[in-house]
Amino acid sequence: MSTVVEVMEKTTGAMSSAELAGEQHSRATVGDFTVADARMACREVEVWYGPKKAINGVSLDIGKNEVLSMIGPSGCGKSTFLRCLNRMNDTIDGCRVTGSILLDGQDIYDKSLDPVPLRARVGMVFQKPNPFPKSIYENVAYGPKIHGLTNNRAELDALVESSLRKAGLWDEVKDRLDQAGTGLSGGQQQRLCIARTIAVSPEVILMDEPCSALDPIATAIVEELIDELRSQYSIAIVTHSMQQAARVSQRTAYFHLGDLIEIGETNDIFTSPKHRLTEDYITGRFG
Amino acid sequence: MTNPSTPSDSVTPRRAADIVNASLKRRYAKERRFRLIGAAAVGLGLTFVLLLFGDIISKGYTAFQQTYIQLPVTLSEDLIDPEGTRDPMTLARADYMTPIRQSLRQFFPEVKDRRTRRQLNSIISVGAPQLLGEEVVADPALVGTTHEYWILVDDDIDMLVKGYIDRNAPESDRRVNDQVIGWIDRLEQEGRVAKRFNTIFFTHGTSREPELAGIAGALMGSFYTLILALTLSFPIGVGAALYLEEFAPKNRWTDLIEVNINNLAAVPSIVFGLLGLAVFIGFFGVPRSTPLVAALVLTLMTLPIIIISSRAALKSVPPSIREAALGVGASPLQTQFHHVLPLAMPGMLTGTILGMAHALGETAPLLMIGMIAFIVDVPGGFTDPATVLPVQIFLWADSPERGFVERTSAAIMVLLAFLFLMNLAAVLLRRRFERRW
Amino acid sequence: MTDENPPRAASDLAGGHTVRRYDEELAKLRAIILEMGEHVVGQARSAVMALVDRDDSQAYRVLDREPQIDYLSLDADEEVFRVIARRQPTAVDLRIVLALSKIASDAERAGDKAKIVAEQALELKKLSGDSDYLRDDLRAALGRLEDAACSMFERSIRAVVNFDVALSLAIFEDEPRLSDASTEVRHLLGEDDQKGLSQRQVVCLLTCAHGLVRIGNHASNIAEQVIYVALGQDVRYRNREILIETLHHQGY
Repeated sequence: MSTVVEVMEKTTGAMSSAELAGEQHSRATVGDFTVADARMACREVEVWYGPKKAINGVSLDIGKNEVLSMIGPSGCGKSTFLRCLNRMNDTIDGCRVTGSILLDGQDIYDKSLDPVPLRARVGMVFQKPNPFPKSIYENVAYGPKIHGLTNNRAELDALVESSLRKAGLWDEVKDRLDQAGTGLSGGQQQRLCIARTIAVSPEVILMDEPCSALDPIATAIVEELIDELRSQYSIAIVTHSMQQAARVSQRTAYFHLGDLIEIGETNDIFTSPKHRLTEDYITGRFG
Repeated sequence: MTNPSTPSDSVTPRRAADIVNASLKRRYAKERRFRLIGAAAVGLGLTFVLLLFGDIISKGYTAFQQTYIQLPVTLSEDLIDPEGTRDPMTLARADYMTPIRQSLRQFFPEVKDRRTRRQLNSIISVGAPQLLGEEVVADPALVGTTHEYWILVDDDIDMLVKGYIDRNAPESDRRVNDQVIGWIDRLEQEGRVAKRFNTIFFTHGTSREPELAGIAGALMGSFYTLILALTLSFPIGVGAALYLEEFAPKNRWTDLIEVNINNLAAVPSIVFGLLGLAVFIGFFGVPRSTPLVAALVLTLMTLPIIIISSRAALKSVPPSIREAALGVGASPLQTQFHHVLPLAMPGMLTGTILGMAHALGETAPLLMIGMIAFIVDVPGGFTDPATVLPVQIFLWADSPERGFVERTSAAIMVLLAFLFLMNLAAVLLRRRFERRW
Repeated sequence: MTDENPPRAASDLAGGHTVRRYDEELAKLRAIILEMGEHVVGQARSAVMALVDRDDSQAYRVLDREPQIDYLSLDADEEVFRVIARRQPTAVDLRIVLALSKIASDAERAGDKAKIVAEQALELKKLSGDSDYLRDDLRAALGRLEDAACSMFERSIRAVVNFDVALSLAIFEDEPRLSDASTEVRHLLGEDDQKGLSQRQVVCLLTCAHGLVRIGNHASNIAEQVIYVALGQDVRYRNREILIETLHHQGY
């Protein structure tokens, strides 16, 4: 940022490009939703639940090695949008997605693309820690097993260890891999779920309010982990905690009633958001 | 912040506390009354259960004992095995009644005329020679020797010994006349009458003679029927539940199917019997009165129960587990078989066991498909004519002989024991595999 | 831009939170700053009056009142800490709190400058007794300087009330007037004949002039903070002419 003049030009430029791309009834997004090296590129995504439109022409990119946070009031469509990114919405009856979502240039809603391997490439961590009611080892090994990522037990062992290490859980559980994953604490369970996700070597990790069931210390540990994972994965995180979005993400997207209102560098969004709604939300002026 | 509010819109804390205290006694009394009513309801139920059990057990426990008389029987070789081959066929077919009667007559030398002699002979059960024959076949060395044998007596004598026949009643009203009572008393004084454990009850099929009637045939019939019904209904029921709950689109057709399944669970069981008669026996020509056709009918009858309970078990598996599996790239089928089914299995098994217990106790539909036929042989397979325990109970309950009354109750006790075991298994399964998420 | 995105009315920049206590805390912080500003303006005017009227009592009064501003600045700091610790302000709230903190420090330092002017007035009185050492042209120049500085500061404080961009812009536009007046005073004092003043008197007067210029500069700093709050842009150390041009262009 240098001068007001430049800023003004940038803002109006982004607006006009968004207007060019957008339909008339969807609200224009403030800020530049593109990034130079996009892992995923979503354009004009609309999601319908039966006759009800939940997402209203959202376009945004998820860059490589970045954490993109999505914030907004309840029911703004941020979780719905996140679930489009690995076709988790397919499991909901009457859910329809239009527009294009490209992963490395390939449309994930293409007829020829199988959602099952897609979900290995775009992993997901859920709101409530949901380890399988099996051993810690089995939890992490399950994904590699069904995808046949390893050839023998030794390789599988190594993969389980490296995944648990990446999730910062190895030292805590290495002596009790055969114990139930559900016996861990909430924060450990969530990190186990993250280990399970990265065991299948995804390119993108989606996180749906991963810390909402955790205490502040466990939250801090998971946030630290998210920051470390950024070096290898693209991460999109939906959170209700604006502080969390501010802490962990490089870019922030603000959703409101199914519209992407504003997207930009997290630093800018949390110091000087451009849109009135964004500012009202992050400063606690409506709810 | 707080302004003094008008008295109308708030009560002072002090007054509020007084009002609460005043109403407390009433509320506690209400609670006590409610608990009392609940306890009374449970108590009433328990009383009836105890009455039922007490009645059955008091009537039935004597059936587990059977009266025998001890007689020294001489098995002369001339009579049993004249050729001396000791061939089991010959031994089994030999005439054992004669030596038993001879032995009995030695105790009562005063019996001379044919009429009295026939009466004396009637003490011995018609099945006694066959039982003796079985003993000899098992041990051919007995031929040519004299041994004390426990000889099965007729059911009237059994009833007399067990005290079910009133000796003070006029002789014409009794099934046992004074003379026979006198003989039995003499034998008793000599210590030759004893009640021994009734193995016949557990090893023989049914019979016209109460002392020879057992539940083995009915038990085996029930066993074959249930095994087959289980192997048919469990996979079909779980499969249907899995498809309906997890894969089928939710539309008008699946709604219709669901309504129909719930309906079927409430259809009177006799209707399934009629259906089985028309379709399985009439159309497909399945042999009637066999465990096969009974299992088919009971499968139809228990399927709705299994489907409904399996669907409930699947519903109770938290969606987060499915999401977790789908999230790491498991296919829908893998998700179901690796994660959802194992978690739902205890619930499904519980429902299945309850359904099977229901099937075990079912009578009405089986009457329609010929299970009511009088079958003495213990069935050896799925296509042998057979009857089942509840039908056997129904048949015995219909028989006029006093000896069948206690056997009916005994059979009910056995049936109840099996039902109890199955329900206990269901409860234990649920307790053991109950998981928390 | 779309209909849902009107600029927030200047008056409710700091208000409208779901948690009403938050509004109250921000309002309290702003009230402290405004009080400080009023004091500073009064101090500056009194100090200059003491200088030109050679009024000892006026100068002493300025010195007496100076600690009030210091105390208010301590209050302001405490309130800033409290809001940050309890509310973790973001976006416009964060800018308001940070800006008010800086404004408080600017106001406090402007108050110090008023005190320095008052001290020099006492010094001059001691040096020159009752003699009227100020020639008319110098007195007029000092008056213009005082007028420029005080009016800038006064307006900067008014600008804080509503985070008024237009008022801040007017302050920026007044900066040449301040520097012109300052140049004129220094020019007059630098003339060879010294206007009949001793060197020590010249130094005292220069110090006063410098203090007044600094008060004007603090006013400019405050105006910059007002712009930062209202527009979200840090405009310090920018080219003033371009900034003024841009703000005009944006319709202020």
